[in-house]
Amino acid sequence: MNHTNKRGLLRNLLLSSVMALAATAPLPAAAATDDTLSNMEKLTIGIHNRSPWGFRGTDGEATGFHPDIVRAAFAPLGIKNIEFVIADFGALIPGLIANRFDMIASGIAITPARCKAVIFSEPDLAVGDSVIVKQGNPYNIHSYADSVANEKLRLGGGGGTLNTKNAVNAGVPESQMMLFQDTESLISAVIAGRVDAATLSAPSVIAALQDENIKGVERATPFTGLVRDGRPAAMYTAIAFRTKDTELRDAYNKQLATLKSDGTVKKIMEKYGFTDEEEVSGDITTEQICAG
Amino acid sequence: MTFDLEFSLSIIPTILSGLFTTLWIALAACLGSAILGFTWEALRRSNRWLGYLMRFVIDFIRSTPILVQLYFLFFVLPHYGLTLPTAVVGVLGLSLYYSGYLAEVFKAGIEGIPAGQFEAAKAVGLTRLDTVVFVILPQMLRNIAAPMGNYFVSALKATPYLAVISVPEMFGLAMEIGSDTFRYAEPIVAVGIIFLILAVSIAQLVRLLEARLMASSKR
Amino acid sequence: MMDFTSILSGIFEGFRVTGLVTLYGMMFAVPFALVFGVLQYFTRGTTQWIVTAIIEFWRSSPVIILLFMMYYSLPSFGVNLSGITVGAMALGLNIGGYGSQSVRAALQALDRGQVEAGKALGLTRLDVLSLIELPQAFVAMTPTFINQFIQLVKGTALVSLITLTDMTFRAKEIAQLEYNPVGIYTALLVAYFIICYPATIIGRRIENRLSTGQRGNRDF
Repeated sequence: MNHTNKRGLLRNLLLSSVMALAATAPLPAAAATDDTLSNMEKLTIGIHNRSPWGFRGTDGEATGFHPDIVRAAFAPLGIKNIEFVIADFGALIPGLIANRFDMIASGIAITPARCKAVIFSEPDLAVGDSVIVKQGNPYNIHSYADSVANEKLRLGGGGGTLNTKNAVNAGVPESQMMLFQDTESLISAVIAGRVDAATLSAPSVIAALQDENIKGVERATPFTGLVRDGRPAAMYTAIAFRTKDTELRDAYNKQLATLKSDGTVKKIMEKYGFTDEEEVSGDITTEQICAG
Repeated sequence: MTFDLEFSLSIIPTILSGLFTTLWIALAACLGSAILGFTWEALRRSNRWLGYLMRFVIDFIRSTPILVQLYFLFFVLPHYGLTLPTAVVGVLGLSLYYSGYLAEVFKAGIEGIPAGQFEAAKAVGLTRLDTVVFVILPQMLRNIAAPMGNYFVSALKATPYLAVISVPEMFGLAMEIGSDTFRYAEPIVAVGIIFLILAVSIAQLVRLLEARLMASSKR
Repeated sequence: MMDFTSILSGIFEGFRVTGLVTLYGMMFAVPFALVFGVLQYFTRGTTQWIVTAIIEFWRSSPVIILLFMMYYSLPSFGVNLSGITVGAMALGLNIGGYGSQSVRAALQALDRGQVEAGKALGLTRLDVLSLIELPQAFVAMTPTFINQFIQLVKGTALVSLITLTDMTFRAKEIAQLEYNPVGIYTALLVAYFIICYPATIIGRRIENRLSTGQRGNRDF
């Protein structure tokens, strides 16, 4: 044996370490953020893969109410390539902040708390809460107040969702609430009896229950969610951007206004089963909602 | 958003409220996997075909991720009428997962006992039960104490997985804070440091225990 | 309802990501285990303390926390790593940390006499390490590296939690389209089993060949 063996061995060790680092270099970095709008060729949106909000369609593209609007808004600006990242709903805002995508296009509602972390476009829909219960609604749940009244009732909600917040604000104690990562877990929890009801927004409930594989649960009707000033509080959904991406947000708002006035928004609403009930009245602005 | 030190310090009490849950789940998982592991090993030795079956079961458990096993137990068991509280599902999942490794530890523990002891026990006429209780267990316990301690630390580090099935342990609580305040950075760093401190200190304790056992066995 | 085979093939669409993270993960795990295992065996005093601290950080932190920290927190410090890099690094270095202990143990298990003989022959310490100790220790380390591979494949399931589209992620996607937990999660278990079981068998064959069995009748 001669000295080249030893050198060879150490060289191999060094080489493999360098290789490991070098191999990861050409891997794509996170979504670009410094590009100005004119330089952007593609947008990456964050969706949580639920119908009708933002989900992966059978063609492999992002579809749903919000992706469709985003596509319609940015196409005239020359941006046709819309890529997407799927994340759990509660992870959408952290993902946006961590530069994993450029905007959230997935049924996220404007809340004063969220406004401190991200900026929103003007609202596009007004939706209400709804709950899924066991078939026949054995506990007769028709409002959050029912959960408050009966301390044996357990309510499930998605982590980080406004529906969960609404339940808490309506007085449902945290000890009666169970948080889950996604809709599948929520539905499974109701079917299994882990919770007696699961709260989601009305369109989510309707869309989820369209799956004929789900048996033994139903939507509780009638249902009153959080009541504010004597009226059921509506949740206004919009597109969310990083706080510093004001140029992007303003460009989108401009397009949104056009889409609203020429009826495109209405058409997309109809496509996903939304009615006039969910239309946002013209005098409601994001600034108002953010202020609380 | 830049890292907010004050915020991360303020949420530590909230995260620590899950410490008890984390610890008892890890402990229960340790005991559960010890019982299961011992059972697998005992069954394996008793009968040739049962042995092959046990080998396969253990291999199956060791060839699939703990996360997937947890999902399976969480979603599928209720379909067969078994709806367990999420913490119990978590303990069950962890026990099953580590039982395979502990079966190996018990195997090594038994093989660490000189063969002569077994033969002597038979020669003296001890029943199976007596052999187990008076000859095997005492010697085995000394052999397996240190690995068991290490598995306790492993189980402790595995409790964060239970967050995906909604168990209120420390990592889950940190994530809740994250989705509430939209700041993920601080809760994650805080809970990470807590786990690091826990894991390292308990590992140190295990090492001390091991040293003391080694000393006592040299009589 | 989707039938089992189409669920399984849907899950395997995620195999590319599972495979990539495993491959890149090995490229972190193996060098780290070797380099730091040798360093920990070789060094003393403060240097050894630093080496141990680095190993312990990667080894004793729960993997899921490492993943989330690197994926969500690093960007706020200006470090933007891709999802796959985060997955490979966190998993690879964590498993490498464990591997380093096996490397060190394998080196420590060698007969000290060899080291002394080598020194007596006039070889430098480094020569002794690379010509005498490591080659013998490699034999003992092979089961470790196979085990690291299996651990990595299983660990990739966690990257589904940082939105990487691996097999577990694909399974959850299918679950969103169609409620069928029994079929989907059974298929997911089977998918990982198909990959890891052969590796486990091979690993066991090699391990058996290396260790001498302990004779004696231990029936009871």
